[in-house]
Amino acid sequence: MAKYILKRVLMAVITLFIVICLTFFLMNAVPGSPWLSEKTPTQATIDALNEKYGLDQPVIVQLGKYLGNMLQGDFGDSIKMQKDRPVLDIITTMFPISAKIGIIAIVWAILVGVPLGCLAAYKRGTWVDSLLRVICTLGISMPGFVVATILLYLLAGGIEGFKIFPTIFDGTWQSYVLPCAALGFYPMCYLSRQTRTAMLDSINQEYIKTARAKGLRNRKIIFKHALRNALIPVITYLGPQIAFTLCGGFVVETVFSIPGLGRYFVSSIQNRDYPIIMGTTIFLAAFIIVMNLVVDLLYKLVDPRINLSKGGN
Amino acid sequence: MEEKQKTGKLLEVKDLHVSFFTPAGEVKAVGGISYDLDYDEVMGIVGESGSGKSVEAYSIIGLLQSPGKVIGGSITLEGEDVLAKSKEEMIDLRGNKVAMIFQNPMTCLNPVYTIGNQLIEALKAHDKKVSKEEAAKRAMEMLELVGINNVEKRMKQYPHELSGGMRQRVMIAMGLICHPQLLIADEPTTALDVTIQAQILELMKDLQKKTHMGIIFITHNLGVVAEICDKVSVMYAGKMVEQGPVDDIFYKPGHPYTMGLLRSMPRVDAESYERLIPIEGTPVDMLNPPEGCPFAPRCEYAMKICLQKMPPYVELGEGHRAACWLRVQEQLEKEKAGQADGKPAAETENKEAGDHE
Repeated sequence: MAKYILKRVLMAVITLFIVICLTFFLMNAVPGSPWLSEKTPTQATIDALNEKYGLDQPVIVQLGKYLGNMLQGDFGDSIKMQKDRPVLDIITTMFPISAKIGIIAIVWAILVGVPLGCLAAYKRGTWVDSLLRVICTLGISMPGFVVATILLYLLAGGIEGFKIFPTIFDGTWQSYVLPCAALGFYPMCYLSRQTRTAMLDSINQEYIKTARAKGLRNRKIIFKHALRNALIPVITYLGPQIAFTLCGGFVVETVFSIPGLGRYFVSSIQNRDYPIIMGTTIFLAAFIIVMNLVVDLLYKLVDPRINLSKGGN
Repeated sequence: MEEKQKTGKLLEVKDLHVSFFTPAGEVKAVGGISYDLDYDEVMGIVGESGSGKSVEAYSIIGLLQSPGKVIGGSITLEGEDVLAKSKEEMIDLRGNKVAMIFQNPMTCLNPVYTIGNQLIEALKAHDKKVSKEEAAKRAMEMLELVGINNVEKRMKQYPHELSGGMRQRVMIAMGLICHPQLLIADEPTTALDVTIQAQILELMKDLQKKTHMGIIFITHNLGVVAEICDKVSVMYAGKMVEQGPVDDIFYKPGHPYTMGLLRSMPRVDAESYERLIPIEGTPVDMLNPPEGCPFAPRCEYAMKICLQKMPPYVELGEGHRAACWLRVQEQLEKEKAGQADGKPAAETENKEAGDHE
């Protein structure tokens, strides 16, 4: 087990290195520069700025420097969005806000999505199943800003005299409700579909027949015998999805004006704020790698037949 | 332990009809079968795939899956009408009074729970008051009873760590843990290799003697029937074509289908040049079953009447009856001979049996 984890960590380091190099080269290959805005500065200013931030050197030298600093825990400073603020500081202040909303979102998505999936599988072919299918297909196909807008319209003042929740995130519990609902809706629908498919498969297995022949009650058959066998595809999806959701949704954070990390993923690229692009990318990549490792370890817990050390070879 | 209830029948099935309502139409999977089973008796149900033998057994235990439905007849277990029971009562019945074991032990145990967990669960489903330690003790006793050693270790193992024969033993232990009166075994040895098959059969015979339960043994293997059963019901296309004590079925088969089955079975005493004789033709299309005797299209003795009317049962001996026009005809001839001797004729409606080709 320890050997397996060690191997995975080593692989994670290699993966991260590749991600860093790829991002670094691609980011520099994109035309544009952080210094271009409405008023184009003079060439002399641009040259001076490039020199100051080391952008005048060849990309490979820049990368080498970046990696060297990174190993010492220095992810550089923002060069445009929050000028001269350390990237690490930006991530450590923004991430908790996104993560808090993300955790609530993913928890409600699991608590609602998985049982709904079970229900749909159990009632397959009935109107309950059809209704859930319509809702989930809608949830999966609707873009996030549509969900957010609908929620805002229905519950935050779109209807005359009916305003339960604030439109702008201000840290009060009421202001958490709509962002969490909007952020969790997609994973909830996706999970529900995934659970339904996996449950249909396991409900038709012979051990379910055995469980019924034993005289077990439906609840036990569904939640003990069928669900545990259906969990593998569900956690496979959940691992990376948790990383994505906790890092914040760009759309949801923009719509509700949440000062979270999600917005930085996109706006750092628009602004060519190279250190932030690198910082956020590495953070998300590392997060996803860790989640995937957790998922693989969970497999073993869920299904005793899975042999990690063999599968790792 | 069931000594006091030894009187009366354990199970009586009367004119049972089960249909599957599929989009393509109604499939009459079981079309009116009747039999009874005593305590301490083993009955084999033999037939080829799709003959309705499993469907019939599933309706006893209330495990028919939609779109299957019992549409007629009655099932009486220890004097109680099974078909009138509520869902809750059926849950109480399953695994308690009636247990069932299945064909494929490789897939019938839940792969993610330990053997012990699954055994204890079977017991706790019907005995809510039993303590954890007591349940574990009972589970281990059951494992020992079915010939598994090293039980404490086995309790903690997962199904994939056990061999097929061992898993079937676990299935049997699980079925018997609540001391059922009736055990339905749906091809319990089919998926096992021959040596293991023999061991499992031996075990079941042994357990049956110890517990005096009734067993319904579903199989398509006549060798297994000869080994374990007291009586046999032969099913074809949802109908019971012949029924009788095991010796009668083997030595005096009354229905051409039974004869065909016997001829297609390998025998140890056969001469080396003898070939197995298959039953020609294919099983009936259950969506459009033929009129008359379902076996008629494949039957070498088929007469005109066979294609028009389902034959009635003819008593061939004590507890031995077959549904075949040939036997009806024989009986009529016997009666005619009897009439000449001064005995009155019975069953005039069977007269039409005479106009064969």
